[in-house]
Amino acid sequence: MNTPLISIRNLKKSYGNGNNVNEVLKGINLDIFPGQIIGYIGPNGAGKSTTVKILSGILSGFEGDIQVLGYDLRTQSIEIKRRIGYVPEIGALYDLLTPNEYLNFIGSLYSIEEEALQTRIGHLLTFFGMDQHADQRMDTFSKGMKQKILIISGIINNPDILFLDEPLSGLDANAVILVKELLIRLAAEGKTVFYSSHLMDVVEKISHRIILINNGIVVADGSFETLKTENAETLEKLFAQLTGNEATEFNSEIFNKAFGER
Amino acid sequence: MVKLTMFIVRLLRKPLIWMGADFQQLQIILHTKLTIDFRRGPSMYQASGKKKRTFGTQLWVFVLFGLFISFGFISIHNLLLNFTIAYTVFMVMMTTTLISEFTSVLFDHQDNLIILVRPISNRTLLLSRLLHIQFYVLYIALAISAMSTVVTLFKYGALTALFFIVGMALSTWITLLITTLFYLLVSKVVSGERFKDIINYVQILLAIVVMGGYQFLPRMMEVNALKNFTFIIHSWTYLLPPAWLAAWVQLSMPAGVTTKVLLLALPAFVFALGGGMLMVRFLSGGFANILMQSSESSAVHKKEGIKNTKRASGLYRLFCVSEYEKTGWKLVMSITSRDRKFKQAVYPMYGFMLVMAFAMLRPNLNDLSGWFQQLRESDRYLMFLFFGFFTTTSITQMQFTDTPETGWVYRALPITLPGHILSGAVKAMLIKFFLPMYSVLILSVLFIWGIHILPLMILGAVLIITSTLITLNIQNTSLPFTQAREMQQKGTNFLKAILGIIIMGIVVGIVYLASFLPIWCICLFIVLVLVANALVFKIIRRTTFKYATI
Repeated sequence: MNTPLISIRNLKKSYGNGNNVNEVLKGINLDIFPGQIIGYIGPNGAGKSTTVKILSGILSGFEGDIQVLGYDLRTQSIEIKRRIGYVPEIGALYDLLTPNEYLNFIGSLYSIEEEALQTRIGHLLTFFGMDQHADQRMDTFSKGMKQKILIISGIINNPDILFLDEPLSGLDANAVILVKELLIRLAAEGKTVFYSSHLMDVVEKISHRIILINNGIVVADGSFETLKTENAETLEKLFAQLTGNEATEFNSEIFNKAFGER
Repeated sequence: MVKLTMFIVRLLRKPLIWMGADFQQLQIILHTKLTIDFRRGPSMYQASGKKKRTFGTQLWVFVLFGLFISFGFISIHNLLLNFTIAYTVFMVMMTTTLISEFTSVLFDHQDNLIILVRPISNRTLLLSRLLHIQFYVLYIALAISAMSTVVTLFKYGALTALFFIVGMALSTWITLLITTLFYLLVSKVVSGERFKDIINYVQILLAIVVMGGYQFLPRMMEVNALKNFTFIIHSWTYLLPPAWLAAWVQLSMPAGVTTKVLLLALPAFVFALGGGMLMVRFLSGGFANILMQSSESSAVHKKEGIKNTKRASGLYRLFCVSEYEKTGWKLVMSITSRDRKFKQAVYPMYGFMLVMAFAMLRPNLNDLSGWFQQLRESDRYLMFLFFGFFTTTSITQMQFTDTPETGWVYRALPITLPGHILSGAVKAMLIKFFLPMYSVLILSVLFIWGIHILPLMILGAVLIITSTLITLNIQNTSLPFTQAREMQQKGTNFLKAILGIIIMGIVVGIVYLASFLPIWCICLFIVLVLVANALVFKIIRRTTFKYATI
């Protein structure tokens, strides 16, 4: 646990230019160590997806220094990309392909040897119960089915770090259990899982470390045990306490005014 | 076609590696992209919204189109001149196609989340996009030049025909490089949303130039004069890509080869390879940045349209009779000024109108005052009514959108009077797109013919509005922004055009007849048409969901 796998120093990111600038990340500092599941939470628009996208090399133009696996993210992103996996939030995949074709495509981009790739794809599809659908076009798939393929494509290169953006959205209860167990298993093998989520109960249960960001800065960081307090015994309550403001508190006075006093 | 393409790519393995690509990845990406395109069936036009024709049938259209160009081949005797003109025509057409149809493919950011997370270098990424486009453009180019190739075959022999085909492939690649270079240089200066806006305006401008070109080129081309021209290689000739390629074709006939021709042919290869290498090596980073910027643009909170609310609300209070109408009005006003595709469909029409004005009024540039005098004595102000009609065509664009699924709101909400939304939208379109242009028309008519034409022009305006409303009603125009753009081309286009021409004729005829009436009669007439106008609006407002297709 001495050298961090990911080290983020003073990460800032703003969108837009001129007098229309929106600073999303305002100086994030983090050290992430191997073998952990990190739950990355925060209100809508807090900068969760932005962080994950920057870390996985989709977004450039950030300020600050980021080291992943000992490589500098700015100059050596290809080396990093070889050893990480990313599962996007929205169902971004070529849905005119079949799962077999798509996963073969992704696998070959990592230059995985043909035969090994075939066995890996076969086993992973079976693991997720998708083997009967292996040769059907994905344009008719449900959101959950697509999500499973996306997760497979995220771990197809056996990555050391897996980034997931809302990995559980759209999955049915059985699949949620499956993915949760997968994440725990990956961490047990020494891999690092970094995921964002809005499902507080899941985050509370499976994360070794929870990072809460609000308005572009880290407001809480630690295991759930260390974070919970007397009057915030669940993550949901803690979340509300730390990120709530007048706008998010249920203000019945204003609510009543909206429809006129009755 | 995918197999053929992949075969050609394998042939080009070495040059592609020189340009800095990971050949293995390049091959996989291309193969996958093409597979997807052809599974999509009608393929590449997906992005630009034209879904109907398949690429195959599209190619046949291009073959036919090329037939006309090949006529030029028969008459010009000088080989260099002959092919320089041919390549110029083809390259201009290629540039047009590239900018209008393939810009979206080049900067496609839909698969950012799939591609950018993989260990792919920027060079491989840029090259894969370029090649992807190159093969479509190549097939189009070969189709357009098919007839010319046949002519070349008979006129100059098989070897020359072969050189011509290779030259075509080179010309598409050079065109693609130049176009991309232009984009990448623009992106160096501006970024993000502004870049997209500029590309949008370039596309609009180009559409106007092309429409104008089709009007004027045939008039200006005097093929006979070119017939016995000789081709002299000046120092600036070395700067003309079509001349390089013509010189390359000349190499197939050793009799005509001089050192100058050899030197002229050389840049074609140097540019194709060297230009490609330089661009891929030095500008691919900028290209990747454009893609990345596209995926972040959604996060910018743009503030829009607060400043004009006061004036605008005054306007719709004046014209709208109900809350529903105001809703339709506001929706149309804000979306039409932001939707790039809408602008791309509508604004070229205005440019086209200007072009048509020149074509129909034929100003005599050598004797402007004489031409003016002639014009003043004629009845040609009636032509301005035609131009007025052009501006109303934008109204039919109002129903189209890229996201028709948002139309659910109309179904889900308890809207009792959908017709009011429609009429409000139509009013907004008239005010925004018809009124300003027509005012310009009126001003120019008054300037040329004098104030006594004013009543006739006003009569023309109300007639145009009324007839447009009637046409909209007959055509069952949909609620604003609820139809997919692809639907636009379906079916009844020809009938609509005929109907439009007949109505235009009737309106112009009425105005012409009215010009013989005393002024009070015309004024009375205007009032009558206004009443009719109000009635038609009433009918539109009564449209129920049964007729207002969503």
